[in-house]
Amino acid sequence: MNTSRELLRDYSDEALMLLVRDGDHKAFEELLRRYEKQLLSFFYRLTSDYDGAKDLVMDVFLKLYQAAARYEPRAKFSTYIYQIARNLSINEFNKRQFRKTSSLDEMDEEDGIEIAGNEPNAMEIMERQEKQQMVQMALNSLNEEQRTILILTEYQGLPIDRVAQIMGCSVGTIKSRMFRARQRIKEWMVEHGL
Amino acid sequence: MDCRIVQKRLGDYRMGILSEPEHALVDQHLANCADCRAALRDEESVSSFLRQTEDLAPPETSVASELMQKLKQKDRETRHGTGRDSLFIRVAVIVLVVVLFALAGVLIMRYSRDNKAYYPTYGPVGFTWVGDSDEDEGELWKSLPGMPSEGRSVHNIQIPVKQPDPDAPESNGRVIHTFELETDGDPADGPPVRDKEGK
Ligand SMILES: [Zn+2]
Repeated sequence: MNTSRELLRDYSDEALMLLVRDGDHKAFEELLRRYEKQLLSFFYRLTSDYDGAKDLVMDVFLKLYQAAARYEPRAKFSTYIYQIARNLSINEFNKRQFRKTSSLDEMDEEDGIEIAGNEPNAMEIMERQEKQQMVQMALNSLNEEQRTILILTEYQGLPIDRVAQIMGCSVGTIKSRMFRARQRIKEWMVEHGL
Repeated sequence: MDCRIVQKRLGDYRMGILSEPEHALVDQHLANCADCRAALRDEESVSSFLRQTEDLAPPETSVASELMQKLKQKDRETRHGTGRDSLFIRVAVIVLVVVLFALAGVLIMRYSRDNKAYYPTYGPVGFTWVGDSDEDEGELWKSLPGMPSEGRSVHNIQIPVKQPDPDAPESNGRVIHTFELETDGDPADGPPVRDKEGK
């Protein structure tokens, strides 16, 4: 039972998920297509580890697939999928804390992600990778919760009330944590002469 | 509005989520306060720093295609039952079937061995019966375990009775009688009831 790909483009996330619940593989692929890139970015900024981020994106979709049978469209789908992502990232963070490999000093040169562009020259690529690493280091100076909130608001462009739902706390709490996170980033920038 | 309150709202102000009157108040304050303008520039510098490398390239191998392959593989595994768990289950089922067959064999053998004595449908079967006198013979059927007592029809039975058996040994002053029974009757009907004279 598969709906045609072109038709699925017009479906809402929630409608697609209901099709997935009924065993529609094409609908699942469409959801994957919609969320793959932003989840990859979410996990990469959170973990500074590109391969790890890819694995986590896979885990999110595997969990989503397994949970499809029980899916009820109570909240917005994007809130739902980020809640899954958030839970996985907490687990991952705890694992890393345990292994103590999350230190910003240990960030690998090779972990720098490729930057999109029309065949930029080697110098440009290096410059952008350097910038990217600086951003990652600044993000790593935050605790896991502040980092997640900042990523969700700055990069994923989610409104505060949705972030509050994902994080399971009040809008007020999110705002004050966001405020502290931004202050910390500012301090980091000053410490690093930016 | 004092500076502390304004600076706490700069985030919302930048995102444009303040109410209209509040937004106007912050605007008004910013126009007259250099400190808060500096704070706003800080806010903006944080955002522009964080967003300077927003355009991450898509991964070379798509997570989607890898994942769809993984899911298909998972589906196959569930359908065909590969992997350690299902191997264990298959071995367990084979062992169980073998045990059941062995048990059934033993039961069938025991059943046919036990029932041969009562239902001599496979040809002549010898009985050895110890009685006190010749008159007890009529009670033979009734005394054998599992025999119906009265009123059953005779199914072509012959009970040649060698009586008294000239070769029968003496035992405690009793005569030992040997019977040979033969029948083509249905075991489900039970053995025939008849005395030695065929009455
Ligand atoms: Zn002020």
